[in-house]
Amino acid sequence: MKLKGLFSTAIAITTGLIVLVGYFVILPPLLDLRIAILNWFIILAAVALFVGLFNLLSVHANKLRNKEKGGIYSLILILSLLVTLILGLWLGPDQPVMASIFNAVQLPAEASLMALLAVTLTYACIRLLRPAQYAGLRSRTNLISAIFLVTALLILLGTAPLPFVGYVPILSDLIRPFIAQVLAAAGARGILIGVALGSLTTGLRILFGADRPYGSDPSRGGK
Amino acid sequence: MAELRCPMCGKPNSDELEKCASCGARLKPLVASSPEDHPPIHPGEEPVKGKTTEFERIPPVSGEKETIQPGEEPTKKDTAELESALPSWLRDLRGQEGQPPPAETAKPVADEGLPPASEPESSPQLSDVKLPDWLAGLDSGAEEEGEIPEWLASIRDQSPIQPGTPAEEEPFLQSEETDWLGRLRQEEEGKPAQPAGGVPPFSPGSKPAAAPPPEGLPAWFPDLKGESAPAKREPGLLPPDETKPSEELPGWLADIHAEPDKGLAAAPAEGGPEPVEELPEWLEKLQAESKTPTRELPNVEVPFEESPDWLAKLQASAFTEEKTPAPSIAPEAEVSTEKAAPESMPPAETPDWLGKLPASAHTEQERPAVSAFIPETPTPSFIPETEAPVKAIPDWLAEFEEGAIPAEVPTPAAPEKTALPAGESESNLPMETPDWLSMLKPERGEEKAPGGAAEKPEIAPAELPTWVQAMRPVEAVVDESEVPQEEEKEETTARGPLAGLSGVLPIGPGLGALRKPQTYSTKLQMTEGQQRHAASLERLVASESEPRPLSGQVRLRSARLLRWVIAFALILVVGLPVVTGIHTVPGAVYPSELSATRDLINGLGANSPVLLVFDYEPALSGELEAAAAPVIDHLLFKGPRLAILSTSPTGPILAEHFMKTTQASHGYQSGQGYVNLGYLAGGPAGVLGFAEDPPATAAYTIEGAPAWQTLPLQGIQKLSDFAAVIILTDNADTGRIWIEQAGPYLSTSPMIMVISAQAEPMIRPYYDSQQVKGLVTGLAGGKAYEQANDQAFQGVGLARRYWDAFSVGLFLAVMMILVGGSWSAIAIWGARRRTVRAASNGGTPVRDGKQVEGA
Repeated sequence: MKLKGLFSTAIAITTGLIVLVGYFVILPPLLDLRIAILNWFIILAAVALFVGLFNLLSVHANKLRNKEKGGIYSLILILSLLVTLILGLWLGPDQPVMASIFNAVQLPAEASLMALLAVTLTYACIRLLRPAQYAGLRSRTNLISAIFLVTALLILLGTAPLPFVGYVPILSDLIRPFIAQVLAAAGARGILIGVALGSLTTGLRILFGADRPYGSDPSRGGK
Repeated sequence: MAELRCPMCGKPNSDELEKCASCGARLKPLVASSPEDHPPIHPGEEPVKGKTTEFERIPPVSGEKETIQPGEEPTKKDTAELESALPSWLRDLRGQEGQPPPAETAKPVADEGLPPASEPESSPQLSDVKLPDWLAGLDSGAEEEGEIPEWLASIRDQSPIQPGTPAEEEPFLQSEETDWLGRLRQEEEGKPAQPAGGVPPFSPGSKPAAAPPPEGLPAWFPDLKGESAPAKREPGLLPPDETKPSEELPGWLADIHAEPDKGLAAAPAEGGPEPVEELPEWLEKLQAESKTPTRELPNVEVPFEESPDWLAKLQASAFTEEKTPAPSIAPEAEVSTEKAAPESMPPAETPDWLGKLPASAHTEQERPAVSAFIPETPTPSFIPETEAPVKAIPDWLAEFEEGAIPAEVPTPAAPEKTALPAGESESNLPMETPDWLSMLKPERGEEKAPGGAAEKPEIAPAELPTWVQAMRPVEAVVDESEVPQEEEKEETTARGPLAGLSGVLPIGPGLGALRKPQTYSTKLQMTEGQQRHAASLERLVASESEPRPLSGQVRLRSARLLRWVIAFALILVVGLPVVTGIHTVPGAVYPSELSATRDLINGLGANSPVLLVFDYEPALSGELEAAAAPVIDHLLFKGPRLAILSTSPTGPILAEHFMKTTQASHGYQSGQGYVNLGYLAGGPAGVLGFAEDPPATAAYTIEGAPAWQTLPLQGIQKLSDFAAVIILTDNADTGRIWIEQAGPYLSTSPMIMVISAQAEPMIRPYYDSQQVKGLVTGLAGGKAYEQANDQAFQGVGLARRYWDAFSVGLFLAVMMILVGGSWSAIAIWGARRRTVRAASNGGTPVRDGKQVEGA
């Protein structure tokens, strides 16, 4: 299957070059071609969403068919999916029914899960400095943990004013802005630069055919 | 099929075999004469009756009966001509018949059908004694001298077990039988006896022949007889004049003549033998002759039990016990009573070679009277066919016997059996030893073995020659203490050529008694240090295998409880302000980026198209709605035309929820005030495509109607046609994508972002780089924006309602973190302090390479 790999690699490289060149060379045909390619990509991305949906259905269906543990939840998921899908296709996403389903189920569920995060993070911060008193556990007391904890406390204290106290002057005016806008921003900038460089390298690798994420790379199990 | 008993090992064998199947010893003695003429006879066997004519040199007279039946008058014949057929020993005995027997000679017990052993002195009285019918022929035979009674001939047919006599003597056996009678007759008449052959060991009446050796006798035989004459002589046993003829006989033969005297002397003590007066004269003469000092005959044993007593006595009389244990012939019945005979004989009278022989097992009492002329059931020992007992034993044989004789032969393996019985020495004789001698000796030796220890003190130890000493077992020279077990188990060999030696491997199957292998201790040998280390290792291993209390259960319980406590506290603290509406927290800090946002929104004209992008998840809808509500509310005060778009599948519906909950007061309706373009797929590519050509990318609304022909989106063909783009996101990446992909296509249109507090670090650089014109961050930004537009809000805004709860909840979380952290720090400090104390006091268990804390 060498021809298949070669064809896919050619398509990938051609497409990438067209899009890339279209950024630098303003040519109406090239622009139209780029737009068309992007539109195809958008369509394929939407189709990929449906593929994921069908994969989810098959996984849970197999789990239900094999009577595995937690099959009831798979059943509920499948039923919910089918109902929502059918109603959405039939009624439309702007229908009050669909809005009700969303507002009554999905929105509160996800919001609640996010609310638990507050309790979990608080508990984790409390136990961050506790010694390993049980077998198999290692001690969490280390410098990074301590710095993380202190930073979190400063940010929290600087974000909102204290009840009956208000903002702590130095903490709210100087420390927290410095941590958030200088230290954190510096770290963020470094991450962004690294991401940008990595994305550039990955794109060039794909354009050059060195990296074939579309399955034709022998090093990744492709043929 | 008749069985032959092996003379060496004593095991029965077939008659047809020449050699023993077990040990390989010759079953049939080697006979110089043709074996067919003289088939050997073995102990226990019925003698084969045959004609004596084959032994006779004088053909029988035709017409005469060759056989004599019991009760018939024997045919008188001249036996003188038959003397050549007599065994040499018989001839010798006959030669000694002239010697007067001792007065104290014991009479042999007369077996049934056999005359008692006659003393040498009784030989002259043969003529005066009325012989029984079966001996009647003897008188006539003395005259005739050519006739041999059938019974005698039949005796000669049987294979004799002769005392150790050399094989050379066998050729002379043929004439012995014919001569002995003649000699006897001559002796009666005072004629010089012509020994036909060797003097039988049990013929006390025979005299050593002074006449020239008869035909068939070796030349040395007369010399032996002459030597034996002065060899030994028992006092009172032989008259002085009898010593002369005995000088011509070998010493052993002389002893034989003398022994009957002893035996006869002992017989009366036993009370067994008949009185001497009852013996015929010729028999007495024989006895007397046997008492004369003659050479000792080798000790021949009769291995069978049915040997007549007179035969046994003849055997016994053939040995002397003066010097050395002389071999003697005795039936097995009397073997047990055999004693050292040589001791009774003066050593000076026995020849050297005979003196070296093992001591005779007979005592004076046991030595029966010799009755060589009255053989009963022929026994192999006494068949004159073998003249071995009469003939001299070679020196080498004597040495051998002497070497095997001494009772004190040191054999450490069997100290109680070190003494070789007298009879066993004969078994060690070399191959030249006659079979009858070798056959008889071992058995006598076996019987003597148990009593060997008892006989030890009676037998004087002799010096072994070097070559005999070399033959001794290795254990003989090894210290007894080294191999104590073996010494106990080693037995003196009683049979075979190695008879008398100890430490010899048994002939039978196997290699004798098995020794128990040496046992070795299986206990592990360890030093004290190793034991300590092993003990400590064992404790460590045991401690590892010991079950420990499960601390996970405790940990799980405390963690769950703590979480519940935290959750309850937070719920309480956060819910209380919301429920009660209490305001305890002052206003938020007005960040600088809020001013820019307010300015941008204030700069929008009325009915300006604005693109709203709702790219946040339902999970953070609470924060974003609280943060974006004042901004959108401020925006809607400007009456723009809104286009709602989302790159998240839930974005469009969140936008609808937002517009209907927070902006309901403004009365915006979908399709009229705003257009919901729905979900934009493709991620960055979709954003890029929308940025380049919005109508082509998002052509339809969420209702399915063409979007770009609706009122809100009239005249908009590209992204830059929008007056502003406001992006609501909780994800930094999504914001970054919009900034990076759509930013270049906005031209002068500002991009305002309302983000979550978690995305601020990643988005702020873009704000700092002025790629984002306005930035509102989290609940605090919304609170601050509400405060900035307080005049515009009617009532309490969402951010304001959440602000107190947020502040209190945040404060509680901070406090819990501080308290918990302090508690953990104190616990760590205490654990380390305890560890240090434990380490200073003693060893502490190590876990994972570190000391166990809090153990």
